[in-house]
Amino acid sequence: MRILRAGDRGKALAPERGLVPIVYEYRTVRLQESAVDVSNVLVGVCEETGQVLIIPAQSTPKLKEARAATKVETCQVRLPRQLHDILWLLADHYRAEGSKFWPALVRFYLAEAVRQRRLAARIARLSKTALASEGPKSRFTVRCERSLLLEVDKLAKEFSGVTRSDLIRGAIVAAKDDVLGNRSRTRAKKLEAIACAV
Amino acid sequence: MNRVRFRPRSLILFFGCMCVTLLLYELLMSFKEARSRLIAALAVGDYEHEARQALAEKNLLAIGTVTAGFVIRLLRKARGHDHRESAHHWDDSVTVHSFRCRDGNDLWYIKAYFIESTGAVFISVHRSE
Repeated sequence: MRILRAGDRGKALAPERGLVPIVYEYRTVRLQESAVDVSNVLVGVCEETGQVLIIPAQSTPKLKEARAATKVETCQVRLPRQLHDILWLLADHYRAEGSKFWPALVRFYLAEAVRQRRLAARIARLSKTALASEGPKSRFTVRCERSLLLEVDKLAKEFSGVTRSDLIRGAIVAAKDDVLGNRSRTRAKKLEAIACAV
Repeated sequence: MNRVRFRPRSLILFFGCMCVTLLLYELLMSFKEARSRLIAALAVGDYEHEARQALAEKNLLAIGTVTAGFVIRLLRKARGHDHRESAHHWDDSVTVHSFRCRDGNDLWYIKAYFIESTGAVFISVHRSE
């Protein structure tokens, strides 16, 4: 890929004026549909008027990331204290930083449950166990893509009496069985990779 | 001795056919050249996007909803009759290439042009309405 730098020059078409010289600059770009301002985006601006005319390919990931951030929702769940302990044990198992690893673990299990019907059924069943539901609770927050949460809500409706929060609680118990109980080596390995990445 | 008779109607028909053949050949070559230049630009990342209103709706490549690889696949499916040429409304000397490509049930619309200093400049990459 051709990587451009601020100050590089080129040419672009401008409304009513045809081909005009441009200079590349880092600017804040507003995505009008989502009303999102994306800062530090390299764009080609008209040397004469300062109008943004061109967006190079290398700026795409920043625009994508900014749009994705608007699609993230915060999901709050009340977890029994023992599930918090399980999360700490899992983070300790992989020597990961808990606050970063826990949301990733939950998102991983929810995404897997959406894809695999068997895992979804297991998580739904585990969510009704005493381990997942009894005892004093405290708050747990996870940030998820809206699209994933919608899929999880759809999944929850397939199991009677199960909510999104139940599935999150069930997912933590499933993770305990898979990793600390050696039930699934494949998922344990995937979680290891996630722990390294966060 | 048989004499060859001069038939003006046959001659007109012959030249007419030749003109149509040349025109079709020209169109086909223009399509092939545009498509291969676009694919090459996408493959090496030598492309840019025209800043426009409704960028997130009309240019899904610019905002990363679709990848360059996906657009290459779409272009490879395009045939000559899926391609149109027109002059850019900001500059008549710039030829804009439009492709309508089918991907499953979706019809995609791709619009791009070439200028000297840059590889390809994409105006639109979106599902056709």
